[in-house]
Amino acid sequence: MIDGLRQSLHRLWSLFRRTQLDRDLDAELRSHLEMAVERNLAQGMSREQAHRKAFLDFGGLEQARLIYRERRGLPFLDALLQDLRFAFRTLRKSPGFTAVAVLTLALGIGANTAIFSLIDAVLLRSLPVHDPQQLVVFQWTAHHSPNTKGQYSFMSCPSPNASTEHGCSFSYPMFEQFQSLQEEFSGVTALCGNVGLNLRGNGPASFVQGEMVSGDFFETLGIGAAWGRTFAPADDKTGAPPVAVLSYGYWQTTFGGDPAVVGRTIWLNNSPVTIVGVAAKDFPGLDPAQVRPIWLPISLSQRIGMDLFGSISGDHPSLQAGDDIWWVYVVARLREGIGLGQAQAAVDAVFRNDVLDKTKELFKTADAPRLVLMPAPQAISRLRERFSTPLAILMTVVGMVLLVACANVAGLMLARSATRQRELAVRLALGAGRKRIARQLLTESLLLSLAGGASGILLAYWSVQSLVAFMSRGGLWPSHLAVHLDLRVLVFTVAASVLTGILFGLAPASRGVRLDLTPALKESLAALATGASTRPWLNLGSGLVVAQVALAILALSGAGLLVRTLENLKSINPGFDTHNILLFTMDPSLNGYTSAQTRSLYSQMLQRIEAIPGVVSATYSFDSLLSGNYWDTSFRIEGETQNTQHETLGLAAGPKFFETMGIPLMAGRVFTPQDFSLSPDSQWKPAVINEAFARSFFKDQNPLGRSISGVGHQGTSHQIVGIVGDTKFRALRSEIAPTLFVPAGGGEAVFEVRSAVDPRTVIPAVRSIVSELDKDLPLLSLKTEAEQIERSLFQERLIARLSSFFGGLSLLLACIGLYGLLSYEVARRTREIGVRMALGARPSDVLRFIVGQGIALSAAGAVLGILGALGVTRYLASLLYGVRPFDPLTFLSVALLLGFVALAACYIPARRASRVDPMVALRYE
Amino acid sequence: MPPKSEVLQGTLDLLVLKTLDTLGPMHGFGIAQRIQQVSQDVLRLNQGTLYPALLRLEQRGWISSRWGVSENNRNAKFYSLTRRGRRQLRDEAEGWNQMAAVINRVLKATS
Repeated sequence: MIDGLRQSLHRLWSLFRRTQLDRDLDAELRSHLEMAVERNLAQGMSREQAHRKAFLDFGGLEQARLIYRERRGLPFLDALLQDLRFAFRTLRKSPGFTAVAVLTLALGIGANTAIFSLIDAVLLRSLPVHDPQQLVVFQWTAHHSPNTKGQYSFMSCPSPNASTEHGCSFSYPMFEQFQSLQEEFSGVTALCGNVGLNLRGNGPASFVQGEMVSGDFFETLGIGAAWGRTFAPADDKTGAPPVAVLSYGYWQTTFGGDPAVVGRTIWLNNSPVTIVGVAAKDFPGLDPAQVRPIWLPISLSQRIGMDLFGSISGDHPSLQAGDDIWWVYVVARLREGIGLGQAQAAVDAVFRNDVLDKTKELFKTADAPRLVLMPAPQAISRLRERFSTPLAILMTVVGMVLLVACANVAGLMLARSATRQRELAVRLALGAGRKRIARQLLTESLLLSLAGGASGILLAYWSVQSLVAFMSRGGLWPSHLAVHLDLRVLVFTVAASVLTGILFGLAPASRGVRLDLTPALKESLAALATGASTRPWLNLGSGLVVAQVALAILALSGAGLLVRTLENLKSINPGFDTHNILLFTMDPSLNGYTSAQTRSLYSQMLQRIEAIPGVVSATYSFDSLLSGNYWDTSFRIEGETQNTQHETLGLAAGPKFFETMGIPLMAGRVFTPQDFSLSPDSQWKPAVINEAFARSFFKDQNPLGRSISGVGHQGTSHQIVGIVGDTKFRALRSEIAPTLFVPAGGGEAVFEVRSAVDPRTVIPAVRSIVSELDKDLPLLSLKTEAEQIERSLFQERLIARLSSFFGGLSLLLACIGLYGLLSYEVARRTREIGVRMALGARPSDVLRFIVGQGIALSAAGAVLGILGALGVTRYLASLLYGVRPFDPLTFLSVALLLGFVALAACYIPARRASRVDPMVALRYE
Repeated sequence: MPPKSEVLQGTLDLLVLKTLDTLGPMHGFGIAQRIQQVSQDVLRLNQGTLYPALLRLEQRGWISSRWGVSENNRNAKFYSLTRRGRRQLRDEAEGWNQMAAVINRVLKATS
């Protein structure tokens, strides 16, 4: 054993001192021969005889050297190095082939690794809490929605099945009942997210979105403090000193990681709050999709003026007390040894007992209300919801790229091996071992695959970086989410490509060693071109090309449909003029403005903004159009025989809203300045409806002058005074929906400023107007309407762009494959072509013949690809807009594109063929 | 039963070790000469095969080598027995004698 090791080391060492040792051996042998000659001379031989005898006695000098060398090094490693050197030289001799093969592999490996790394980052990673499997989220289900004054939802709550109503928010009193279930849970905690906070006391006024949590939040999740402390239950008692915990990222970016931040007082919505600590570094918030900069105890919700239901309602319902306002998200940790079912039975009993209480009447027994516990990792899935579709599509497409890449490399290897038959035959004839030749070919293909793999890693790294940058710019990617190259998929893709290399590197090797020497050396066409041995390989090559084309067509068809969807969405007329509108959001109520103060502030702002040169008009509304936010309300129509509840989209709009947005008035009037100076408790309030509202609810009657009631939380009544044109409201994709416009009160609002110039140029003027009026009011989410629409189409654009990029890539690869196959065909059949031409074929015949062959192959691939696409594209149906999954135009244009590219790929080798000089071709042997 | 070459190789190893044991440090030519002399030219040693054998013994750590100057003032590589080599020689010689004795006995029994 040790002996063996010693020998191996000795031999290994020799590998690195090859030249030195060779010189040593030569010197030793020379000295031996000289001594022999000397002795022979001494014995009286002539000089010539002495030499002869010395060499004879020695035996084969070269042979001795060879055996010695083999003995000296590790023969296997030695040969490997030799193979590698040789492979390197051969590959360098055909740079075109090498470049294409390496690049192809790199693309396949790189694209797959990049996309899978993204999938891993968002879909497969667990929640950033201690032991997430023990954490459960509370969800209710019932046949109907509960009879509440309001439900506020802010975290993901996946639907258990489509037919039931469900939700994940509960009233605070109900949460307190859940908290008493101490046998089942080691902790029950409540949270309520996205509370707008105007922050003072740290540089200029800024805006953050905080999260209200119960006192045992951090303890239940198992999150420690990076600095200072987290909350204790005592912090959440009424009357406790107001405290806050910062997230690590927010502490770093906004407070510069200053340790003195603990103990500092900041003002949130004009209320002093003391920072007591910073949460652990790896905890951005319970839902990794949403970074939380700051946490506050839920008991502070009144003090900081939390208003969950917007300005429409005007005043805040008393959150803590109400049974009929459902607003907290409940998360609990199962006690050790308690099963999910057992805990669920306990909470379900508590829940049903509460909601079926006759005095509260939140649900009727017939609604079958139930409480379900969902494991938190499955329930908190916003990232999954947001990314699973685009990433699944991209993964499919890059998977196809990998397949095409492997087929391409296989085809390249096959074609190449065919052209190397003569070389192999020569080497066999010169006495090379068949095993050795096989090993040589294998080394070559492995070297190729490894080079491809290495470039693939670089490519993957680069693509992950640029993809994440691209998605962050679009606001789609949470910037704190790190992406690491996924090692498993890297190993998988490299292994796949290496295996392809081995498989198709071996194919020529097995043929190479089975080669019948004579015909190969003669390279006689009669024996080679028509030889039965060549045919199956060629067919395999054609099959590979057909498969590549089919896959490329499949990928391109999907991409084509997505591109057309994007185009359709972009060319939609949303019913208002989207150009030259500047948007920004404000919420003075957070700084303590009353409704009346806000209204007066807004009217001053409008006056001054409209005076800015270049501004045409300005207005505000509760939501902006196509922002993705919307308000949904029920109402009744006065005078209807059955007192039915209807549902409509609603929007509280400011003065000149319709003029500013460019929405045409169809009948009646729009809001006048008097409409905005009505007292909040005025009995009469106006409303404007859109045409869809009139069509849906009034059919052929005249809606003007009619009254509706029960609008919003306060159930206000409105008289319809005007009808305006239809617009898209929620999203470009959604159908035009009935919309009710009411005059905006004072509260949070989005300002819309229409300009005659580039709207971005008026930003500084707007900023200075606002800070002149109140320097503590931050302007939020400044953007143009066009940007807002662009951003709403971001996912569509991402998928369309990337899938057409990868689709195009696979088409390019397929055409390289086609080109390679035809080039090889032409080279192989030079003589045959020469004969044909000598017998009278014209160059154009030859051209047609070769191009025809290429077109036949790509047509076969196209037919297969389109058939495949017909079966697959229906899975895209939910993503498409204005185009059917079987859109013939898309398929036709993809096929045409293929036709053109394929023609180009065929033309070059065909032209080479048509220029064959018959005399040269015939004399070639 | 091991192939013939193996036996010959083993034999050559033993001869080389014994030669170095007797002569002390010696170069390849000297070793070849000595083996031929002692065997009184019965063994026709192919001198070329001596060098791979020397390398093998050196790799096993039984002999060591060093460049030196021969009696005729010629540069030559001198091989000498190591301690491990001496032990190996003793073991192998013993084994050889036993084997020879056994074979002798067998040959006598059949004749």
